[in-house]
Amino acid sequence: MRPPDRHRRAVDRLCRAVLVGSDPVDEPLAGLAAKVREDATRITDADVVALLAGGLAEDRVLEVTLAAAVTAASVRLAAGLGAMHAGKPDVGPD
Amino acid sequence: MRLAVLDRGHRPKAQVFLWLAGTLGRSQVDDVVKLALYRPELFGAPFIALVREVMRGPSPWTPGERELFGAFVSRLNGCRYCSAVHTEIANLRLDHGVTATQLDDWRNAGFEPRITATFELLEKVTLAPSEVGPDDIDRLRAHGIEDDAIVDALHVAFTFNVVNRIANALDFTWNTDADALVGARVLNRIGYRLPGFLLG
Repeated sequence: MRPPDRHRRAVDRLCRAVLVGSDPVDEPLAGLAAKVREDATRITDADVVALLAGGLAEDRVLEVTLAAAVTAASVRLAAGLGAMHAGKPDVGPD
Repeated sequence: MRLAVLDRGHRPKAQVFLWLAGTLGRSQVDDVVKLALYRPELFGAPFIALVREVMRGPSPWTPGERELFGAFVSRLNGCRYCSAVHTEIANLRLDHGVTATQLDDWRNAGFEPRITATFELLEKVTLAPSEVGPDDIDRLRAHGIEDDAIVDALHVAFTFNVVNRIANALDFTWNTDADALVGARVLNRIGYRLPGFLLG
């Protein structure tokens, strides 16, 4: 198997592990997920303390963080790989 | 660290390993390792496999060059935790050392043209993914960078776009700069291998 195919398989396995069963989340977790995707440096201690004080389990906060991080990274990988294919002459079957 | 489960929630075998690593290493245990060993089926096992493959598997890029890309993406994402470690590993691996200042001023820092061209793509992919187009890829091809190398660099960026976000969200922190350097040397020596029985 060529390295790019091995890379793809490794990415697929990570996405499956993290994203399977991760349904869209409601507030306040949706706010956390958006910050993780867009600019995770904006997340503060107070954000996480408020989520936990509201009764959310640490495991739930972790799962949502992981899913948002993998989603944002996947968008970026797809953008790069998509641009590579878009720039190539179409040699596939019509 | 904002989640106590990542400090104290591990299974007994992982707790023993983390205690030994901290005691014998006389240094802080890497927060990413703590994350990887917590519920490893959720994240750690597939993530460590990805890191091993992307950062140390066969590639047109040397491990040092891949560390440079990882450090660069970490700077873009404002992740001090990861950039400290991977800038140091790049330093250990490359003939010419690299500093955070050079990474932040990468256009004028005297990197090889193919490295600068790859930085340019990774910056756009990381900060403005919706604007990436075929022209951005063609600029790398014009430098003689093969498609396999472009794919590999994009996967390094993927890996760091994942872990930078987690480290920033959960406030992964090195107690001291010295701890970050020790952490870098450990990761460089073990090549991102963690004992399989801890990830299974």
